[in-house]
Amino acid sequence: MTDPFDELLERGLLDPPADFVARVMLRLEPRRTEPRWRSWARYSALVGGALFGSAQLLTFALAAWTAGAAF
Amino acid sequence: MRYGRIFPAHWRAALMSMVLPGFGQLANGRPNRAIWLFLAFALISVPLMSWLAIRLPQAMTLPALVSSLAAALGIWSYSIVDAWRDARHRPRAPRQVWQTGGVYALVFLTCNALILPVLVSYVRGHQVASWRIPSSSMAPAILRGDVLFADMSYNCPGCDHAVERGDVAIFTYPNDRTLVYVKRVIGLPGDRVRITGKRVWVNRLALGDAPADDGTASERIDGRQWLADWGDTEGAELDLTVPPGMVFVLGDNRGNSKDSRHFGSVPLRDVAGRARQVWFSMAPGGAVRWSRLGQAIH
Repeated sequence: MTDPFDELLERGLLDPPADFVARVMLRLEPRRTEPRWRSWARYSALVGGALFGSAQLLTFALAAWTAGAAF
Repeated sequence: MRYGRIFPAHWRAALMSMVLPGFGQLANGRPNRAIWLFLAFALISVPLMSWLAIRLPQAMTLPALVSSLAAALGIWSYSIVDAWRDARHRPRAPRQVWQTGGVYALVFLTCNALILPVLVSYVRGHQVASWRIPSSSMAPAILRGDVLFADMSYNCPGCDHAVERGDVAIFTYPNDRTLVYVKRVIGLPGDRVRITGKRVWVNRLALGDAPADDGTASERIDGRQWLADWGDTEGAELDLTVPPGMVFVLGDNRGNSKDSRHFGSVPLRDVAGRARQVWFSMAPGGAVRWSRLGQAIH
């Protein structure tokens, strides 16, 4: 009995076209590494923005509930 | 967008909605949904419900403001979940020309550093504000440790409520403008206020009878009624006409209150709010006074 997988393997699906290297591989750009300081700056901006944004939202949601003192 | 390389798109969208409702929808390329979500959060949740809270009966202030808080948190949460789900369903959505870091930064700063702070200031200055009471000068109506909501849409051009006799008013202390006081308005401009011993007259009308043995007296004026506590104080002798543009205020706890008997009449323009309802109360020992929660202030 022939397994369906055996049939698929016999078809040779993994054969790339003859011009695969010229058409596809040569178009791929190598990944550029970014300077360390840019990575830090990005993370700092992200964390700072998240803290600032969340604080502003909570201040807004609790606008009527934040109490001052009245003697 | 470089963050897309660090975070999957749905994480990025959820995070952006976490710092500003609608922001994640903007990152998902849905500006219309982003605008409506932000408007719902910024206008419908807090300002609209606060506007409603000061127009409902006094006892409804707390439920209305709890609803406002729930609405704000609900819209915020929905925005996060919606951004996450939408980004998961469309992981390779084409990027629009306006989806740049600069536009995101501008939107974030405009909304978070400009629009929301202005709305917070408006709500607290013109709609509802909370005040913690560290003194017992207004006992028994307001106890030390109460935290109450005040109607700040009061005594201003176009406001629904003008200052009336018997109101529990929030005002700037005339001798130190960094302090805020809460006292009851007894006399309006032009009223003649007379205090003899432990009785008060306004325009020749006695506010109440002589105090009982425990020092308390029921007082009323213009349909308002409250309990004044003279305690062991000697009382006072005072007879004056309230100058134009001023009001005469007294604490209900007459034996333990610094009020117009001491610092004179208060400029009407300094009266900013009217106490409405207690929403939290803690006794000096630290115990929560549950029975005070929701108490309307008359």
